[in-house]
Amino acid sequence: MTELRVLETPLLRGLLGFVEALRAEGLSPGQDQVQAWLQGLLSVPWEGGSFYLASRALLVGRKEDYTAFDRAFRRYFGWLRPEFLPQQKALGSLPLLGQAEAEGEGALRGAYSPLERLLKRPLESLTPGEALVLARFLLALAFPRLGTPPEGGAGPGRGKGSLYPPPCAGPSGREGRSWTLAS
Amino acid sequence: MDPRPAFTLESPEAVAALLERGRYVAEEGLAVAIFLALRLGRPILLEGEPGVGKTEVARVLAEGLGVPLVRLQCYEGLELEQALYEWDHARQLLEIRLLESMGEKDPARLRAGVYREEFLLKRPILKALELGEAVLLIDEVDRTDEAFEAFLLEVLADFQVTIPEIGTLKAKARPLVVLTSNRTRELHDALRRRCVFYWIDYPSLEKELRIVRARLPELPEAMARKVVALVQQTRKLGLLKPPGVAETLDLAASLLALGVEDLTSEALEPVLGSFLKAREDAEKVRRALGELLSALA
Repeated sequence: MTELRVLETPLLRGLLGFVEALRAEGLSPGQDQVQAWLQGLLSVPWEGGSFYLASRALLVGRKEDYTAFDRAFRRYFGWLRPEFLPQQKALGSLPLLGQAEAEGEGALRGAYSPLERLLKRPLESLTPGEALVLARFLLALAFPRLGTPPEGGAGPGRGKGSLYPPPCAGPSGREGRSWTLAS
Repeated sequence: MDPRPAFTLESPEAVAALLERGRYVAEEGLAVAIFLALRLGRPILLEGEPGVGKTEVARVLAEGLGVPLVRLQCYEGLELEQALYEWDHARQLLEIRLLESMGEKDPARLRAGVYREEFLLKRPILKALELGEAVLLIDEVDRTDEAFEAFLLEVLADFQVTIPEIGTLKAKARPLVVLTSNRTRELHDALRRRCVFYWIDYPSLEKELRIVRARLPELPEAMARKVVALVQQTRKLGLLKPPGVAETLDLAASLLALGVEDLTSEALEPVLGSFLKAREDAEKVRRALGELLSALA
């Protein structure tokens, strides 16, 4: 579908990684559903509850699967918090990822974060772990406010009645502080 | 090329606002799901306990969009003819007589004379496809059998119907298709995958209160709150048929009509039947009523 071309390839890969995460939870959305999901994501805001709710509405077909979906969502998108991303480095050097840099030119090569280096490699060459890291990183750039705000925050993911599944602890077991990538 | 969706709204908020105007208080998730169904031209499958307002969604949407609501009420043994079309045999016979009386004897011409669109009795699905700009409600799809489900799948895939005598009729635009299910039978995965899905839960106390206030503004707030709290409590009693939102509204309306000013056992006695459909449930609630009411106080 032509509309889907708007999604940058790396981002598309990042999103499709979520489908793998769903499969790992025993859910198997059909190809048609995945396509509808990607198209649907083009028309909802990628922040707030919409991203989560749209994904659930398009990828899940029965109530019993809501729990598994939430687990996968938490696992896959739940780490989108600044301290798990190479903030300064990534943000500082990202503009350098133009044509020249992509071809390996320039003395600044050493400034690339490991993530940026992942960006340059074809997906097939990545291990599943690397692909996941890449996907999270790209998604964080695409919609930095997705995920869980700090305790008492006004955003999604907190408190009773929240639209988001409860937050999970990151790799270090800490909760996120606040979102800074957007500002 | 598939027919385009008949209409679209610019955002989930616009959907929520439209529903709100129809006095339907929707969760954000429902608004997002409807928005996607409209935008992507996919059917929406709504499941939930009876009485949570699944059917109402379709009605309010049709009203809000200013298009007809075409309803197909499903039941066990529903045949394609009742869902799609039938030939009006009586009128066809009359037409043949008429043609014969005018001297027409050629069988082929006689046939052609009666297999025309005007002798077609259009049933809901065909009607909705023809209209295009419509909301097609396929209510309680779980009551039909698998064969019918398979047929639905086909229609919802390409929004067209083939009538052997006439040809293929294709929708000019995709109507918004709303399917509801009470889960008396598990629907096939293939149908689920074709739809945007949303599970409508019982509303929270605050949301249910908003619904009651929106529908029955003349009921005092304190009373409305008590009624809602009572119904929410009874849902936790493990009843055979837990009361839905429709029943909350029935109860509130009954109390309003009777001019009841305070919720007491005596006041509730005559109206228990308005929100509890099973006799055993009414008994159970009657026994627990004292406790339920003291918890409200």
